[in-house]
Amino acid sequence: MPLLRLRAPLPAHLGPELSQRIYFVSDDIAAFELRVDQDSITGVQVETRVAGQDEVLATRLEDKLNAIVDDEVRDLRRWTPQVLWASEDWVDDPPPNPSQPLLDRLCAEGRAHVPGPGSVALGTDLSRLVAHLDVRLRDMTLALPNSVEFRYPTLLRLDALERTGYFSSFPHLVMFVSRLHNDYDTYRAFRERLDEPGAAVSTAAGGLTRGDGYCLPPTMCYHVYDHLSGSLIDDSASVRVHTAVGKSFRYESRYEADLERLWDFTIREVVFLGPEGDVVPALAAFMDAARGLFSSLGIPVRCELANDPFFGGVAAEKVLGQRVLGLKHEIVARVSGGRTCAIASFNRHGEHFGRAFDIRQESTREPVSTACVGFGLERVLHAFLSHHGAETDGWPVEVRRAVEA
Amino acid sequence: MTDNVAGEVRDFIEDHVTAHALNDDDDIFEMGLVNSMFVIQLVRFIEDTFSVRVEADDLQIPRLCSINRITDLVERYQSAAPAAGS
Repeated sequence: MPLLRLRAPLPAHLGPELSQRIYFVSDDIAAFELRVDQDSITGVQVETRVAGQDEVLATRLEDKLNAIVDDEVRDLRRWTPQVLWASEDWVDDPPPNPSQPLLDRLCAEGRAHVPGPGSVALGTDLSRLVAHLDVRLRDMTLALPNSVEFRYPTLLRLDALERTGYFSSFPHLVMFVSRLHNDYDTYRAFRERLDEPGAAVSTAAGGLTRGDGYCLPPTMCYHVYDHLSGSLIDDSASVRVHTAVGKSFRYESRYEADLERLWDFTIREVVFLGPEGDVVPALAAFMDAARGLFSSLGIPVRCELANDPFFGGVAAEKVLGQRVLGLKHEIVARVSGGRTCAIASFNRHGEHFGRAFDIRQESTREPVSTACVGFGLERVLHAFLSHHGAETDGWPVEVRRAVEA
Repeated sequence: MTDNVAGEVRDFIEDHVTAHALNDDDDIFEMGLVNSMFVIQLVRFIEDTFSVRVEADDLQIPRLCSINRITDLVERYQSAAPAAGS
């Protein structure tokens, strides 16, 4: 259990920010505990995957830890939670709820299955419930004027993701797509390695793979900007609305929080495009509609100012810009264990994506402003089941009817 | 510390936004003159120029939206903890 010392103490209130980055320091860290002395964090006690004492490894980890602390954590400010609104049935301090984790229970009942870390399979009733929740969200969206739905492929071109700026803000979350080099010698070498006693596919493929210009999408809205790249948006009537649902992927290093944090999850995305003066009120009106929908589903929610988990030395400044301008808000719900979980995020981008993808307003030829809303469907499911219970008897009648139909 | 906080603030804003004849009470956010990069530069300017650390509670548009509001904010910090040598 090496102790990695911080070269300068860190205020204790930054503990959660540091904790969520520890597993990104190195894959060699298996577990950790912050060392706190009064109001300061002085180090991190880590358990490594390497057996025995390894001073070289400890020194290397300590250097990386201090680099990530100095780059990303030390300059973060002490933001206080800002709540915009809460539904009438929202409870600020619920009583402790030491119930069995929801996903464990669903798996024990044969209604869900966990194939691996960060992924989940849903059985008949839960699949129908997710589908119903998505239909409600989709119908709410397609009721808007000038709205359209597209079904996009899973694979997203790397150059499209690059245009969004994702690689500088969130390189740690990206999932690349690779395959064996299309070369007969490569296939043969791979087969020969696999034939060796004790061979594993992951090591057999080492040095034999290549990227193919694709990644797995971290969110659905990037497909929309890429789709509309180089186009003119008719801004004469109302804001253009594109919606899509699809699998999204973010590498989060550890997946221990029930249905809240998945590697492979599903987003219902809604993108607004048009002049800034139209996009902002359209987004606000859509938030009101989402609030009404969650109310009709009987899920208590509240809306909070939020920020993204930016990577690197500019993280603190990007968070600053995002929070001061109120560019990101999340609708959060209470989930099993009494925790809160963001089930929808509302994001304003100004002209960032309009410029990056050369999407312009037809009337002025100026770059469009954009905003997007992402609903994490597994999280909405989690919030629904946490509030109404896993048994269908406790669900709202119209939901039960839809699922049992 | 400067004797003319408002003047320095005005110079900074006029260097970074394209508006004519900005009044001290003009809301530069409401006028759509700024983006998140400007916010970052503005806070960096305030902290570096006036040797203050702006607390998160003060990092909101109503306290940063005009020359007068920014000047009030800086003077409040300066009066609470005058910078050395001022």
